[in-house]
Amino acid sequence: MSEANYKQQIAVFLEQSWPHSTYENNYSEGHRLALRRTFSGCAMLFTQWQADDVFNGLLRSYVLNRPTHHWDINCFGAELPEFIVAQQQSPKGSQFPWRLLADIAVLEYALASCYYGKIDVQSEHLIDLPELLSLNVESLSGLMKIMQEQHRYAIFDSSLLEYDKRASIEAIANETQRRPNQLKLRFESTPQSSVPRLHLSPSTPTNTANYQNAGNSVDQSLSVALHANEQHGSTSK
Amino acid sequence: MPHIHQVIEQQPDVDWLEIHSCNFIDSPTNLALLDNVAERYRLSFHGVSLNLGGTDKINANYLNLLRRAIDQYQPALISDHACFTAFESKNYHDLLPIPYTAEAVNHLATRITQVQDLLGRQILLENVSRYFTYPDQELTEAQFLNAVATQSGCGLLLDLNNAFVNQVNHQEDAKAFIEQLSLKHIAELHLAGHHREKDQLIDSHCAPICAEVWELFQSFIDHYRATFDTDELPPTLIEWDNQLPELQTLVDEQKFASDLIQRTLPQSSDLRIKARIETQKTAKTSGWN
Repeated sequence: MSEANYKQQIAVFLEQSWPHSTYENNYSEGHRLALRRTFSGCAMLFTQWQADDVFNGLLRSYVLNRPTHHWDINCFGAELPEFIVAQQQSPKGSQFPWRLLADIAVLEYALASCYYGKIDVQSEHLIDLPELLSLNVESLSGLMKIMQEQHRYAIFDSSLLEYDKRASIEAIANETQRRPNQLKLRFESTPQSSVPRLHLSPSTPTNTANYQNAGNSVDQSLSVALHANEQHGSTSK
Repeated sequence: MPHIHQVIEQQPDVDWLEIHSCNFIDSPTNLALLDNVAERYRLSFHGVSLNLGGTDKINANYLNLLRRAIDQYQPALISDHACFTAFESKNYHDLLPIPYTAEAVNHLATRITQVQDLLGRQILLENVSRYFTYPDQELTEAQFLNAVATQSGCGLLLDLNNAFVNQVNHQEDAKAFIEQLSLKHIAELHLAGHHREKDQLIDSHCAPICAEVWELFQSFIDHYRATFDTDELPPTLIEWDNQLPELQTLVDEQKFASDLIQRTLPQSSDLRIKARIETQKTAKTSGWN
């Protein structure tokens, strides 16, 4: 038997026996659960909306259509934000704030990428979150609370919210004073621990176009989730 | 990982700890946590991504990260699995089966040698749970593992739960499998739990170690002692990855395994294991599962 035969044997196994097997079920469920861990803030919102089935269905579809190429399963999900945005064209297009969810997914994937060393944030790393950072202060505060509970190794800088308050006060006097639409991520050691934590803070304002608080409907749907979160408590990994 | 902060704070009384190395080698946060753990405990690195049975080139990025961590932490043991995890650049993140043939022995031994040369260390090869059997295999699993270990110089990591899962799923004889293994190659043992799905057992590491696996463990201890006339057994690990109980439950399981090895329990073997089953039943009603 030659090396080609060995390769052929496992190729035949993958082609003929892997589908519909315990292995395929393990693949589907293992990767779905990995995505739920990485995107646990998104998962929590769907739980609060009592729509776990919608998010799980979306994740199963993603697993089915996007093969993994990296050895680290924690890297799986890089394209989930755009997959989420595409849901605007689906029959559920108007039922959920897909663009905001995509921003949350971008943030959560960036957190995972920093945590697992796929992004070097020894200095800092900027991520664009126009929808998320256009939320009103109440919604943003509630969302940051969920994110903090789901990602305890990260520190969500409270100046994110202070900036909003300051901006709203100063907006009348100075219309150019806006929140930034980017967050800055960097690793930071704390006095309490030698283990560095991911610090998220506002970046310097770079784009003022998106801060007209255009997402009123988004704020409304999010406030439902945040209210439910307060009623039911929360979980974390 | 969920217990790592507790381990650092409470420093439970165990001799050594095993990390799932894939979650650590490229994570600055997890490596900083590992610094704290390594101050107190000896370490073992257990991975799933060497893709030893695969036909793609060994992943240089993964291997270099692993070597960097090994150089830094000097773990006592390094291990991976007798399987493939990726094929033609698609990664399955699962322990997929390989055929037990002479050609597969050469294939695996060559790749293990390549890895050991680069790491400058011996690695251990673990037997896996299987949900598929290749037709026309030339060797038994034990013959296959013995041959790979002899040819490559690697050691073996014997997972007794995997042997039991294969016994149930494929009507194999786990005890015969263990007795066919060359004991001189075995450098570590794993004990773990599983769950049942339809007519199969799934190696999910989500439950207490079952009585049958404890019995296999006792049988292995007796077999090892009879062969080598020693009380020094290979280091034994409790693996529990999903539906994790409290840390103390894991420590208790480790203590029970250690007591079996050290013969410090007063009862006979059968009674000890029966008592363990009763403990498990009580614990289950308290919410383990």
